[in-house]
Amino acid sequence: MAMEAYQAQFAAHLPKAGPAWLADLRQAAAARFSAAGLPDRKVEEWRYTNLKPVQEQLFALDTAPVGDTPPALLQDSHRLVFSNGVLQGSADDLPDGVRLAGMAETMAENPGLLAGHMGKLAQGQELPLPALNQALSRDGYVLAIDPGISVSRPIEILFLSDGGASYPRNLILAGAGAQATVVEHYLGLGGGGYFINAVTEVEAAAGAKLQRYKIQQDASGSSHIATLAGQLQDGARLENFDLNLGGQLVRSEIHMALQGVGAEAALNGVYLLRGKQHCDNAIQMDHAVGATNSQQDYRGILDDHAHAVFQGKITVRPDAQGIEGHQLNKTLLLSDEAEIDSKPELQILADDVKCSHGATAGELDETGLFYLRSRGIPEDEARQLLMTAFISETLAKIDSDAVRGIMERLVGEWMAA
Amino acid sequence: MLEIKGLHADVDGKEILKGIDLSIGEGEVHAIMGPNGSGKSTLSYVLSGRDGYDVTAGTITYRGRDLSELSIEERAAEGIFLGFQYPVELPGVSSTTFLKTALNAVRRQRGQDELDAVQFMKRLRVHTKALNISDDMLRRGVNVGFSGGEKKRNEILQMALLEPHFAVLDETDSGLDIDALKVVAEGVNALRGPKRSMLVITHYQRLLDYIVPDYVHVLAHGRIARSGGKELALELEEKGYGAFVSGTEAA
Ligand SMILES: Nc1ncnc2c1ncn2[C@@H]1O[C@H](COP(=O)(O)OP(=O)(O)O)[C@@H](O)[C@H]1O
Ligand SMILES: [Mg+2]
Repeated sequence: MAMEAYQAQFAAHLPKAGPAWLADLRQAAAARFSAAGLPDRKVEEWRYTNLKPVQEQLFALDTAPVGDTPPALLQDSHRLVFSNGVLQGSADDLPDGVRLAGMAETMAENPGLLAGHMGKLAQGQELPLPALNQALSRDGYVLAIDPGISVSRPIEILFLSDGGASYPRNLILAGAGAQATVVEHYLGLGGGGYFINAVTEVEAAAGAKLQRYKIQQDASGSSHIATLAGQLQDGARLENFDLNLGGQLVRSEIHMALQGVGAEAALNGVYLLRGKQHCDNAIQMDHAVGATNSQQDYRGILDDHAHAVFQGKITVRPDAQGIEGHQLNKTLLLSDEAEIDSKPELQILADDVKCSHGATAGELDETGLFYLRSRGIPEDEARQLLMTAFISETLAKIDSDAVRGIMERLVGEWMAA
Repeated sequence: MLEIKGLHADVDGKEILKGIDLSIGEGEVHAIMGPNGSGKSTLSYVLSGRDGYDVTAGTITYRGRDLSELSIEERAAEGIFLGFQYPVELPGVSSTTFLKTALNAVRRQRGQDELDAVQFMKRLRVHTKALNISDDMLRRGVNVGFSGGEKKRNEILQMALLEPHFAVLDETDSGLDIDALKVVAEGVNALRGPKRSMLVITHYQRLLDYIVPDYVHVLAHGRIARSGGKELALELEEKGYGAFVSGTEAA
């Protein structure tokens, strides 16, 4: 798509009200995107992913909300629903010291909360898609938790889509020692030739504990691009889990900075693809200081002509001694035409570190299948048992029992389909 | 009960079984002995219907039915059980889930009601106690981290739960010390009965001291070289396979 078309959208959607810093931020982002354009495959980080479906079409920005809202995944949650990118309603029963609201609404009511945080982590020359998001975003969620507050009920955010383009802009600010569990659920209705380009920025102050789970079930014809940018201070912990089931073209990018001593990130995920689905998980883990821990475990099952990409880079800065960083990617290929490109990368500039990475790809174990069938288990059921077993270790790492249960159910449904 | 006639079978295009005739009656226990590579495991896989083990000539009739019409899982449901020489490890599949799934799959195909968790555990307990199988083993992945003896006891546990009509036990004795062998043999003997036939495959006579067969066959080069009563096993032990099998090294 010609850059002029995007520039026309930028001009039409410049904020008419609100703080000057926001207008500056958006203009700078628009300029960055105009200069860089959508990345093509000559860019190393985009070598395996072709943005053609997004390039060929300009998606409308103002799509009417989807009619009916499906039921929540979690029982007893604080819930926000976005429909084609715009917040519907509000969350209720929030405990003191917790703000969970729309980005647009927060910008109008309390812009000071966002100043200096919005756009702090997800920017830079190498991130044209977050820049596009910044320039065109209309809404998203803000979760701000005061120090020491633990949100006991899980938070569920639904992004419901059926057309156009949406650019959710999300921000999580966890004060020192704060705790919360957030589920971002992306759900598509219809066949969906729509485009989602989401950004979630996470700042976790010292000792904060966050669980952020993403369940991506966008429509089969959609393009889903998401960027998570996080920064963890001393002793903060983030558990992130990405379940990718939907979409035609999917890119899930994570930039995680372990900024304080004792910070810890567990970034895990499962991707289950069939047909001509493409899913690219691209992770950059930055051990900025010593005594930090990171772990990545991504597993997937690919059928038909599906294509998955795993690019995981662990960077250990020169003074980051005594860190541990582990990375694992395993893929099961159910068809000869399915394909995985797995590219682990370690850049270690300190000497006292414990790092590992590994990648495997293989077919379903025929001997195991025979063993199960010889015990009377029908072939389909035997295959499902082995597929479930293949990803069970990764799913078992999900700390929240309720969320693990939901993911297991969705995985089971995928396998039975 | 089982009638094998003129059976030839290929593995990956190579002929391994070269004309086997064997008849096993209701409640009988037959032993097949033979040197390594003679085709014992191949026969067990052909009987259970494993892919890649192709019958090129001859017939196998099981309880009046042509076995070639049945898939692997249908054979299991019809009561054929194979105790593996090398039980397969299934990381991530818990032993308990595996056993319950298998039993209920077989029950479903046999037109019986599936067991709920409580009924299943009750039944499981009876057998795990007799076979000295710990709760820890049941919690682990199937055969993952099991010792040789534990793996073989686990095979017998599966046989006990699935209540087959015809069990093929492929080198159930291999890798076991004498105490482990006794536990396994007791487990097998407990399952002997007028309605259950067995084909016990072994390389050594030792097992047959504990599981005493009605008939013994010597397999060599894909054919049955000799058949006899249980005393044939003793003769083999004394003289080695060489005396029976020309062109084969003594075991
Ligand atoms: N998958 C296979 N592909 C090719 N040859 C095989 C395969 N499995 C077994 N064989 C060959 O078949 C013959 C019989 O093997 P097997 O049935 O395992 O013998 P036994 O159990 O009596 O030791 C051997 O020569 C062996 O090398
Ligand atoms: Mg063998």
